[in-house]
Amino acid sequence: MKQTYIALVENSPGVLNRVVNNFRRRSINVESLSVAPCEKKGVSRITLVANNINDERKNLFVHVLNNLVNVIEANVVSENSHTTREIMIVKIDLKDEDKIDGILNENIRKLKSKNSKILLEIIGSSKNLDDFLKENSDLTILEIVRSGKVAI
Amino acid sequence: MPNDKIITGAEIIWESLIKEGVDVIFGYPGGAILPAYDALTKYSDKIHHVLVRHEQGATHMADGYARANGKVGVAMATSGPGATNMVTGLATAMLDSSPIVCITGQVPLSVIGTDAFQEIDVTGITLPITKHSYLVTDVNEIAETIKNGFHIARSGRPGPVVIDIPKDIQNAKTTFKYPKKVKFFPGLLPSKAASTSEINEASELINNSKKPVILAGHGVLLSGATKELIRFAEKGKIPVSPTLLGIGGFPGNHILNMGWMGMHGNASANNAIQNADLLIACGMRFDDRVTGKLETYSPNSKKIHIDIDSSELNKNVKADVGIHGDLKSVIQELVKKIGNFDRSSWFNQIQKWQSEVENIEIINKSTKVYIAAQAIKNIWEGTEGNAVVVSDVGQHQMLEAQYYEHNEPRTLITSGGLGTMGFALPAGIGAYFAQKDKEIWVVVGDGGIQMTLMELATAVQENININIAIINNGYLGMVRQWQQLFYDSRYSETPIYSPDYVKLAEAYRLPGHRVFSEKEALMAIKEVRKAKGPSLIEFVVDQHDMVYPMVPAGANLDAMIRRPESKKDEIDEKSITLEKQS
Repeated sequence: MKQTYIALVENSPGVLNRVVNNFRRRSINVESLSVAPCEKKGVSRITLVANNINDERKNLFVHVLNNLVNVIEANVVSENSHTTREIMIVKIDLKDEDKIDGILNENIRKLKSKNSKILLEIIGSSKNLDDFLKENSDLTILEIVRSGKVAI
Repeated sequence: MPNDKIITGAEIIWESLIKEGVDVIFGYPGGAILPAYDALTKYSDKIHHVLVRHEQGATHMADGYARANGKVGVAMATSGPGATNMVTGLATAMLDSSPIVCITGQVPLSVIGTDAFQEIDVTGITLPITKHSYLVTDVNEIAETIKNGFHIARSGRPGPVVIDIPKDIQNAKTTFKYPKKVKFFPGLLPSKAASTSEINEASELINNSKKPVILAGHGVLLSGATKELIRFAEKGKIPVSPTLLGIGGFPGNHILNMGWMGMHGNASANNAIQNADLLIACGMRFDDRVTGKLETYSPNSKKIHIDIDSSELNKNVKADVGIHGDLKSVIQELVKKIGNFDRSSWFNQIQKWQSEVENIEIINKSTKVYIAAQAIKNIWEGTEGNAVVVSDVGQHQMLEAQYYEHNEPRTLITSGGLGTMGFALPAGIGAYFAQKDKEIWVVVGDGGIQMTLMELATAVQENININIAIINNGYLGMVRQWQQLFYDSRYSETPIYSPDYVKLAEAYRLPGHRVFSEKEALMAIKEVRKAKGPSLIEFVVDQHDMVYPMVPAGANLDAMIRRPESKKDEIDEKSITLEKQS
C-alpha cells in the first residue's frame, strides 16, 4: 500500500539522494516527491509517497530516514493526521471548451486559453485529482502535470 | 600551530587529524591527494603513515585498528581508482559498525563533473555504504568537516565516513581554527535513556522467565558493556550466547557462556535459543545467519531487544519490549530490577545438550591426518589463548570462533556482516598499530590470503610483530562445503592453486614455516612467537573436512547438520593430497 512520509532536511547538496536511496535500495518505487524550503532557514521539507510498503514495514523507513545525518525529523503520516494537497495542471483541446464551463469551481480553475489549448488547474487531495480524471474521461486531455502530494 | 596562522588546506587536514588524536594513518599517495602527502612531511613526527600496497588494504587496516582499540581508524587515498578501491573496505566497516574515516583526494573543484583524469563521483559511489560522506568545497570547511566526520564515525552506532577533498581546496589557504564543538546533528542525538516503563516491562519479563537466554552482540563491545553484562547474567542466572561479532564481549570461559549462536554456532546454544521462553537481545540485529528461518525462530519466547539503532528494533524479529538506547546504561538499569531465581532445571537441560555436543566433538578424537580444527586448537594452545586473532572469511573463520576461546573484548576481529575475503591480513596489520603490546595472529585461508597478500610487503616494511597462519586445504573450503552438501558434490571452481608460501615468505623477506601435523605446528608456533617482525606459518590440512554443526540457509535454527559419528574413520582413510614440499 501507499505510504506518505514527511521529512525536514538540511537544504544542502546530496540530501535528496540520501533520502531516496533508502527506498531505491529496497526496490520501492517513489510515486511522488515534493521538496522545497520551509519556514526554517536552511531547512527543506520533503513529502514523499512510496508504493508497496505494508503497515508492518512502514516504520522502518521512519527509523532509517531519522538515522540520516542531514535529516532533522521524519515521520509517516496519514490522511487523518495531516492535511494533504496536490496541484494538477491539465492541458485540454480547445474543442472541449463547452464541457469545461460546467465543471469549474473554486478548486478547478481555468488558467488560460492559448494556441487552441486550455490549461485547467485542479487543487485537492490526491484522491480528488484522481477522481477528476475518472469523472472527466470524455475530455481530450493532451498533457498532465502533477506537483506531487504535500502534507502538513 | 597558533590559531591565527594562515596555512594550506592540506596542512589543515593534518592539523585536524592531530587534534582528533590520530597518530597513525594507512594510505597510498596519488595525483589528487599530492598536496596532502606533501604537507605530511611537516607532520611525520606526529603522525605515522603506513604505506599500503592497495587502497582496500588501507581501509581494512583502519577498520582493524578501530576494532582493536575502539578509536577511529583513518585511511587516505587519491581520487578515482584510489577511492574506488576503498569501496569493499567501506562496506565491510558499514556492515560491522566500525568507525573509520577515509580521506580521499578529488580532482580540482573547477573540473568536477567534466570526467577529468581520475575523476569519479566518490560521495555518490559510497553513499549507500557509508554512515555519512562529505565533498568539501571550501577550504574554510575542512577543519569543521573533519571534526564532524570523526564525531559521526564514532557516535551512536559507529560507521564509516568519507571526506572527499578536491586538490585545489587542499592547495587553498586560510586561517586554521579547530572547532571546539561539533555541529548539532538532530539525526545523531545521543540516544535517550530507557524509560522507567520500558525497564519495568523488561524486568518483569525477565523475572517471570524460566528459560531465558541473553544474546550478546557486537553492541556489547561497542558500548563497552562487558562488566555490566557479566553482572546482569550472574545476578539473574541467565545463560549467554554471543553472536560471531559478540565473541569476547562475554568471557568465553565463563560458566554462563553457552558458546556462540547461529549457522555454525554451538549446537547447545542454538537449542537453548529455540527452546527459550525469553530472549534478551543485547546490541545485535537478528541477522539471517543467526536466526535461520525467521518464521520458526525461537517460537515460544518473548523478546526483549536493546539496541542503539532504533531501525534495528522490529526489523527482523518482532520485539515484545524494544528499548532504544545505549546498551551499557540500559543494562545498568535492568540489573537493579531483576531478581535472583533458581533456574536449575533450565541449566540441567542446557548441560544435557552440551554433553551431547562433546560426544561428537572432533577435537576430542585423534585423527591420522591434520585437520583445520586442530590447527586452530594448536594456535589457541600455543598462544595460551591470549592473542588478538584476526580471522578472514570461510571455514577457518567458523573454526576459529569454535575452537579459540576469547575471554576479553576486542580479541577477535573478523568480517561478520559483509564476509569480506582478504580482510584478515590488512586488518591484522591495523590491529597491530592499535595493540602493539598484544600478540596478533592473522588466521586466513588459502583463498583469502591470495586476495590481499600484497600487504605482506607492508608488514615487512613496517617490521611489525604479527603472525600469519594460512590454513591451506587447497580449496575454497566453505564454498566446497556448500557444493558437497547442496550441489551434489560438484566442486565447480573451488579447487585453488597456491604458491609455495614458504618461498613466497622468503621472497618478501619474512620467516616462513610449513607444518603438516600438531607436533610440527606447536613447534612452529613456538618459534614464530619468539621471532621479531612478521612471520608466516602454512598449516597444510585435510582437504575434505567440513565445519559442523551447520544450519542450512533458511532452515530452522535447531535443524543442524551434525558431524557424522563415522567421520573419524573417514578422515583417517584420506591422505593429505597436497604434496609435502621440502
